Amino acid sequence: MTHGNVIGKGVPRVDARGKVTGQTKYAADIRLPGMHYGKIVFSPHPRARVLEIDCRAAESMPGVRKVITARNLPGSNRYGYDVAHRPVLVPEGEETRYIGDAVAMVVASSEELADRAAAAIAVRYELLAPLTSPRQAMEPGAYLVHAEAAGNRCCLREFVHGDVAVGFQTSEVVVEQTYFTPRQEQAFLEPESGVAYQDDSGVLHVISCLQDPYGVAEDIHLALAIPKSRIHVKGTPVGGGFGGKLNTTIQVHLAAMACLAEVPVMLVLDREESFAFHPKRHPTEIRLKLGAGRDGTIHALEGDVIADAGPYSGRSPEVLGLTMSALMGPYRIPNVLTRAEGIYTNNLDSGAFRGFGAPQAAIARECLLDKLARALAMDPLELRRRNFLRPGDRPTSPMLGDSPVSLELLTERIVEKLGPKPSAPKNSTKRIGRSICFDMPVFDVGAIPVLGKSGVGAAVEVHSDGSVSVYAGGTELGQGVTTVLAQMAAEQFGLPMDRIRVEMSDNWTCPRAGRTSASRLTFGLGNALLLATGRLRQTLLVRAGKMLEIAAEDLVLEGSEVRLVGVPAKALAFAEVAWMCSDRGDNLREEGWFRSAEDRYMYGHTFMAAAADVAVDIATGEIEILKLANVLDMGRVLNPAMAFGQLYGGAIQALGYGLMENMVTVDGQSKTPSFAEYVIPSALDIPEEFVAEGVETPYPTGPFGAKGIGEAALNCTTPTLLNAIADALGVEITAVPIGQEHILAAVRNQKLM
Amino acid sequence: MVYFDYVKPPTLEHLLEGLRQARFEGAVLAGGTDLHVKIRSGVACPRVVFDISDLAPCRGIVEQGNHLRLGAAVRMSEIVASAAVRRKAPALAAAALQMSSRQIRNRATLGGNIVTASPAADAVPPLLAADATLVLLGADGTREVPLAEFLTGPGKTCLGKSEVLTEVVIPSQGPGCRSHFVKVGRRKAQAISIINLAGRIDIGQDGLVRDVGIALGAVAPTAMRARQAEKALIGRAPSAKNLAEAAALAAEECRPISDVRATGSGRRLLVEAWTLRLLHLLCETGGARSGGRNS
Repeated sequence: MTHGNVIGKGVPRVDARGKVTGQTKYAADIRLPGMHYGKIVFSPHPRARVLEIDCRAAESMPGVRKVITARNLPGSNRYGYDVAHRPVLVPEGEETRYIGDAVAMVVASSEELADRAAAAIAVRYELLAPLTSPRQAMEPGAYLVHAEAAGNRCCLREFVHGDVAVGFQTSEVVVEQTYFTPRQEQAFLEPESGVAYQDDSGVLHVISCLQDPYGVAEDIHLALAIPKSRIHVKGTPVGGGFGGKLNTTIQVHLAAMACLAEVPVMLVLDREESFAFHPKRHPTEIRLKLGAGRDGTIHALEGDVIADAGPYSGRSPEVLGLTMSALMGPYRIPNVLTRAEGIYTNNLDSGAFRGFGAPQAAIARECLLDKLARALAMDPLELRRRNFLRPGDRPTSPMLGDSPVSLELLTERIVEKLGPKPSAPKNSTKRIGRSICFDMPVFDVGAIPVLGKSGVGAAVEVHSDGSVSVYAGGTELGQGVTTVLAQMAAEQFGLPMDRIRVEMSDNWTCPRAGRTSASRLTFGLGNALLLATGRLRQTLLVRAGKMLEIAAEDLVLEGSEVRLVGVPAKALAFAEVAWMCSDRGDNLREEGWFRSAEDRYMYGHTFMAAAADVAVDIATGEIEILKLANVLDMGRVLNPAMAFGQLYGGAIQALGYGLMENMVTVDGQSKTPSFAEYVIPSALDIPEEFVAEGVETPYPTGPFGAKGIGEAALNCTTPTLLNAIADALGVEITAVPIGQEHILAAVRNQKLM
Repeated sequence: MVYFDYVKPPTLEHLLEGLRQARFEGAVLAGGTDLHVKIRSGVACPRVVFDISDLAPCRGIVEQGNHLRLGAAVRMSEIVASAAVRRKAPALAAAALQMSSRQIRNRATLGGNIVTASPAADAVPPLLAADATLVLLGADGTREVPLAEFLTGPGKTCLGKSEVLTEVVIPSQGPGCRSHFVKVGRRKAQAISIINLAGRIDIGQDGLVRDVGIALGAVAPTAMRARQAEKALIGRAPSAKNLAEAAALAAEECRPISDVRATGSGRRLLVEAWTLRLLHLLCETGGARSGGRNS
């Protein structure tokens, strides 16, 4: 296989022109003939019994096509990932579980009429006291959010390795701390939206922004009893997902509207509805304990995570499984006991968000490592290096992987990137702090008993004119997967980028590819694509060999030709060979199916280092990030421009997580219902010096040696910032986000002024 | 969604007549950056909206003697661009510059920022510190009200239902007077202030504080003057010790609440730290304009 033609080059994104010129059609831009508009009536109360829903006034309003309650719905009225216990619409007599629960829906001829009709639906509620903290929900006698979930326990994940009792007995220094992490909102720009219609053959088409067309089809089937063979789900270009669109969002509701109103329906949530509706990053309370010898060797780690799972299960068992697994990080720890528990409440829902439970773990682990370093009077970087996984080690985690360990290389590179530690100007109230942290973010390789349904398919077709279509069921979320797949196909066939078209996110036209999460597409779809293109290359080479009367092994695909190695004159145009294949009846469409062996190598690890220099003004509490650096072992960088875009974006989300973001609820109601209250970083908050770097340790399992990087940069950037601030002040940080006033309080408590 | 009639009155007389006819169901729209939000959230549900964004008597920035008169419909971006404001009321210019985004500053007006009466309004502390007064026009003619009396609570003012704010008057500041503004938000732009504050100081030839105004926002039901802190400074030297004492008094006299942006005790810490920084900036030689920083 030759490569280097387009692989590794910062070729422009294939979707750049449309997005830059505004021509790209997002779900809300779609217009269909006869299209009506839907509106969902959400419960204003986190917990209330629905006594009566009176639709009469709404039904008699002009332009109203259909008013829908649970009574009208066909099927089970239940859907949901993990446990199908979420009602599409809460029926009369049942209780709502959070403010994102829907009770009724309207379809009308205009948005305005749909709004008015929705407002005319009179719902009588019996208000009940909501459960608003996991601690409260765990108490004996607490009301049960789901009758079958004793103690309101959504999930419990445990990992045991060695014997922690022995580990702590042999430890000379033991440190322990409890950390609190906030609820973080994905803050995607495009709200949940889509259109749906039933065609004349009875097929339901749902066209919507999503991260998993197959999961959406599954949920529609579960809730509405429509055969899967009659459900077509097509993903539109996504204006941000970050995990918030991983589970089915509004698509079941939309499908029900289209089927019952018997017209095409568009549904777009407004910002407040969107914020209230979709699952966020789990708020957690993490108690973590580390034991080590005087020389810094870690003997034991014990961790206990309690997370607010919100009202429904969804991704909680998977996310918290990762939190539990990620507490150990890239370190050798002989004795481990970690557990993570998800607890149902009536707060906002919790689920997938870039990093998938690992960022919480990284905060606790890396902050406690700094505390251990202080207790040992040891340099925190030295402490980490003494405990690094070494080449050939298995990770101290249930998530085993096959990625070569490159922590020393990352250390070398990040120290070089940082340079000498800056010093504060004389007579200044500024204090300088520095931190370097490490992580080993996972990406999904395929056969994962925890996650299931992880095989990935991709199809490739060479047309008789020599152009190529790729069918890949993953979703373009802005991460650039469409471009990366086109690069791979172009490389494989020796064609320019513009000969490749990539069709994505469609459960009918694309082989099953599962969800777009776990930083898995470049890796999984890429491998499936290579299997398919490998077979097609063979077909083309054999046909060209016959045409040229040369052995296929002596031919290569490059420069849009099939060439004899070393004899440029002896060549056929790629298009001519494709035409001949087509003419002679060769199969020019192949499907690749990729999954790893079931019993091993379940994950890939993208080892990373993050570093920060900060200046903290002890007079005002201002935090200035002087430098922020991320270095990741990406295996092979397929497209540097896009890869570094991912690293910068992840680091900025991590900055927001540590310094400003918190989706606050009081009594189950959101106190940050829109972007006016929920603050995320702006362009002005980006560090003065912002470095992202890749190192490349060949990773044979990856397509062209590449690894998954979509989530990675977020993981340990937050604790790096926290530790740098703590280093500047000599204080401990145990709760995020941390703002000026927290710095001032710490300064006062420590009598630093 | 709310539906209302939209009227663009050609004169103040038409506006007053319209407001009278609409009784209690009329609303005045200057920039709309607050009104639209209120309408959408249901806090305001006017039957008629009167647009004064182009109404000439509400539009000018005029130097009248040593006073500065600003029309209620003057936009934040116009304040930022005005040499007169930068010269005579630099703290106000700084506040306007730090408010929200360029797009919002092109719409949001000075009058709107005052009438909305948000405790966190950024333009209010500079005006309060400068003893600004407001010109209110009603059926019975005009009346002039000190800003400090105009604001009566969160979202509450003494503006009558058929009255409009037409002008803001900033009295002349002494030649040696300096002013500054500080905004503390969760990010560096487009954040509602956790606290904001403005100060002006006049230091005599003898080196003692002749006059001082310190106004604090988002730490009481309305923006407030830190009278105790001011009292502690007048007639005294602006020494580090005296400034620190004044800052501590400001923190003591403010009455912050806890909300989604910060706790009350956190705000008190910020008031002390930033009042001290503000006073130091005011007493330093040179720059009359404040940057003001965000966390």
